[in-house]
Amino acid sequence: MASVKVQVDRKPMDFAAARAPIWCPGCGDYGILEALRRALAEVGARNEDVVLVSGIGCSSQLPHFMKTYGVHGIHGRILPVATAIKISNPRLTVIGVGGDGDGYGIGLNHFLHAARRNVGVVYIVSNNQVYGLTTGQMSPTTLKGVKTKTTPYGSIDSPVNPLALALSAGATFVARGFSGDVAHLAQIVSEALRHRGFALVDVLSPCVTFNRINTYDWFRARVYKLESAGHDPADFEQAYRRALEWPTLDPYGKIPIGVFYRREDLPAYEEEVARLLGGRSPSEAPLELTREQLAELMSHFG
Amino acid sequence: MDVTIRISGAQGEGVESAGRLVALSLARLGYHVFAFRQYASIIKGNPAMFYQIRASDRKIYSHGNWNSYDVLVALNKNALAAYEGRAKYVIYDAADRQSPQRAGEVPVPLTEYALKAGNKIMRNTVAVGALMGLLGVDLSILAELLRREFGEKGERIAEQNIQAAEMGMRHAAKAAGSVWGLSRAGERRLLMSGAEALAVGSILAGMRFYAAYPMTPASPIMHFLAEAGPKFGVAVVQAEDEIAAMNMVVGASFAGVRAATGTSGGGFDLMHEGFGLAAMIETPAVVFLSQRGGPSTGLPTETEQADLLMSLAPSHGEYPHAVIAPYSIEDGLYAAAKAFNVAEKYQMPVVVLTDLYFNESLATVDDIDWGRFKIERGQLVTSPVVWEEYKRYKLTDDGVSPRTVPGIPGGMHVATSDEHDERGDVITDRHLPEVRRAMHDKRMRKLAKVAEEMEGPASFGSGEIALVAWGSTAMPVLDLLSHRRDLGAVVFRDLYPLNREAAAKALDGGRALIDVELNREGQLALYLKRELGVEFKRRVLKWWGEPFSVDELSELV
Ligand SMILES: Cc1ncc(C[n+]2csc(CCOP(=O)(O)OP(=O)(O)O)c2C)c(N)n1
Ligand code: SF4
Ligand SMILES: [Mg+2]
Repeated sequence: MASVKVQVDRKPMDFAAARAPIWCPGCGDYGILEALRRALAEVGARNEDVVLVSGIGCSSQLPHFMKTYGVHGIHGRILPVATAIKISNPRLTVIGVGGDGDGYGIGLNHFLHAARRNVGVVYIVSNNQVYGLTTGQMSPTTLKGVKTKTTPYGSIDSPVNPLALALSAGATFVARGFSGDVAHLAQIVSEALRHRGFALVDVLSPCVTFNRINTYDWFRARVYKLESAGHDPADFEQAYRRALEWPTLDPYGKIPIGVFYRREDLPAYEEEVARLLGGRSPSEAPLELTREQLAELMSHFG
Repeated sequence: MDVTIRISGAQGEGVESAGRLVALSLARLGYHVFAFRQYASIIKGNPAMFYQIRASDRKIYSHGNWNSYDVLVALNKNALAAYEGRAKYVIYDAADRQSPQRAGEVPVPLTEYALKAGNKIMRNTVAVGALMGLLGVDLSILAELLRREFGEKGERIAEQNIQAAEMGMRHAAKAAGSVWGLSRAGERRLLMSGAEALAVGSILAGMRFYAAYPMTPASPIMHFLAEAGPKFGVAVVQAEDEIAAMNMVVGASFAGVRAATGTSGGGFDLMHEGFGLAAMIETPAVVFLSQRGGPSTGLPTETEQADLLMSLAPSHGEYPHAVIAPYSIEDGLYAAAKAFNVAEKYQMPVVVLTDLYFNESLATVDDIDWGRFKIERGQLVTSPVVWEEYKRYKLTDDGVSPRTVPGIPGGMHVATSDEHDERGDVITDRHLPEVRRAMHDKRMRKLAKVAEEMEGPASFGSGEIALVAWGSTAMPVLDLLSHRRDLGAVVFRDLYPLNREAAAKALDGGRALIDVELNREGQLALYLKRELGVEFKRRVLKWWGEPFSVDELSELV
């Protein structure tokens, strides 16, 4: 693996941009922002080596509040952008951050493919079970029966289960956090940052403006920590069963948070690419060819 | 010397490999070669696909004529029935016809010889051998190519094929004699497809990341890069769809790596939003748009030039970009290289516009001008900057701002698809018309500078009538000029932004202008009328899936 350079004594506020967040007061995304800054400080990241990639949505504004590189791209396309950045320069710490609509709706295809490729990207999804920025429509994680602007008589769509999807697609790090427990979330994100390969961190992140059902209190009454429940994240079948608990088996039941699954023995996609390229990444390959290389290239055409 | 050969048979019968073998042999002998393949969107079947190979001792640009050629090699009865009246010599399987009906027929027991050599599938090799017999080409050239093709592991198969070719060659030489008696015409020439020219041009331009989703006729670019690219540090990703491919290009490029994707019309439709993203966040991107017949799935394996107008304005909104359409296979090398420089210097997406006829045809390339692959990276910042002062989207006179990439200390910024200010901060949470105006103007200002780098159309010949063409249609047009002194041609390559002055000058001069294009609406003529008020006397158009041929054009104009 390409070695990521670390720096000691980093503080969360070292990652704060000049600009203050613009979310509604109380929005779950504040918790994600704080947890991310703490985790980056914890792993000793250098500002210039961090790239945050977001899509479109309230949560996708996050890179603007961070003193790092960022691509605030288009709706649903976080992971292709992030994948290519990581392949191009594996020394960078690449973090995707966006909404449930962005990642599990319009961008779902990319989510499954990033998971199966095991590309070294930490993907944090602010799962508020609603489309925040577009003012409160149903999202792919909206529970059945819930009323939103586009489901005034209650949603008739079953919600997706992002954790189960990630597991079945081959993700090697699958976790869920809660914006209302920043310390716990920061711990999960740090572990994700240290992971080799793709890491999903789904975050229960209340939208205080458009989601009156899944509130902080609603979650507090339901969440429990996997690590206190004797869960073994090395056990895939156990992880899958835990992933089904909510919302697949019981949409209004207990909600496990913590690390569901992790394995560190599989090569990350960027390592595989570098292996094909003879042990270097595209950003390390010289732009100009040597004489011998030129001759080799042209030898295809005789 | 100018000889045209058509090899025809069912798809899956070995027409493809036979065609390549013949084209390569003639290129090795030092001839200028052009080879075009017509086929259908089916893997096996299609009774009479063909490969048309033309070789000459002077420079040629196209496959030549549709209606008359020198030799037909018919691998089955359908092919014989479809094309025989047009050829001086016909090689066919003796089993397909009891006795010759016309002069020039050369029946060869293809199946019998193939079986004798070891396997029926070598019928096509027997036929190639017979063809070489007629042409008078030495067996050694074929043998060398066959040995290379099958490699060390396939030594036995190679020897069997050589034996098959030899039987065909002896038979034909005995039956008809060595009609052409071709000897070496010069140094061995390089033979490449248009798609390969684009791929090679890209590698030489420093492209080190390519992401694409398979789609004819763009796939051969990816095939070549996947095989040859790794040695030069090129990462090739087969993306989950074209949306991903385009966004991957943006990502790689943001990370400082020259990147491209390739697709055809339908895939490019899916890329539009990401294409606009590249323009908005001012990140270089190159798209090889390889046209085929549209709309929708259209004609997957047949050529067309109907995406010119789309390429001029693919994504929504107003933004700067460029369009370059190489007009010969060799030019594909240079067009690709130019695209990467324009994309990076002006921090914008660039379309390299070709089509199936261009991508899939093979042509020999002349001496390559290595000086045309100079890499220019424009305002790329490679050393630390002061974060408090750095403005990624600084307002400048030419609209281009210094660009840092991740890893550069102090250069942190967010590249934002929303409208943003000079630092890249999103402004859409407020109403800031002055900022919007300034940023939009800044981006659009780049077009004026790019236009200065765009070459004007190339003029050929001095006839009273000028054929106006772009991209691959220039290939048969240029060949036509060599025996029609009454005609001239104006060929557009750097299509957008237009070098208006040069274009107006080339089209002025009192000549009658005829628009020649492979589409129904005359898209170049529409574009030139809109931009320059140019009036065309006539339009010669074709939209049924085949390129123009020289004889056809000669009749039409
Ligand atoms: C291609 C495209 N379609 C639709 C939109 C409009 N849009 C912007 S954000 C959004 C959904 C936001 O929901 P989510 O991703 O859950 O983010 P949140 O705001 O809840 O954080 C939509 C539909 C868009 N920007 N682009
Ligand atoms: S609308 Fe909801 S998601 Fe968006 S900022 Fe407000 S609380 Fe957060
Ligand atoms: Mg949401």
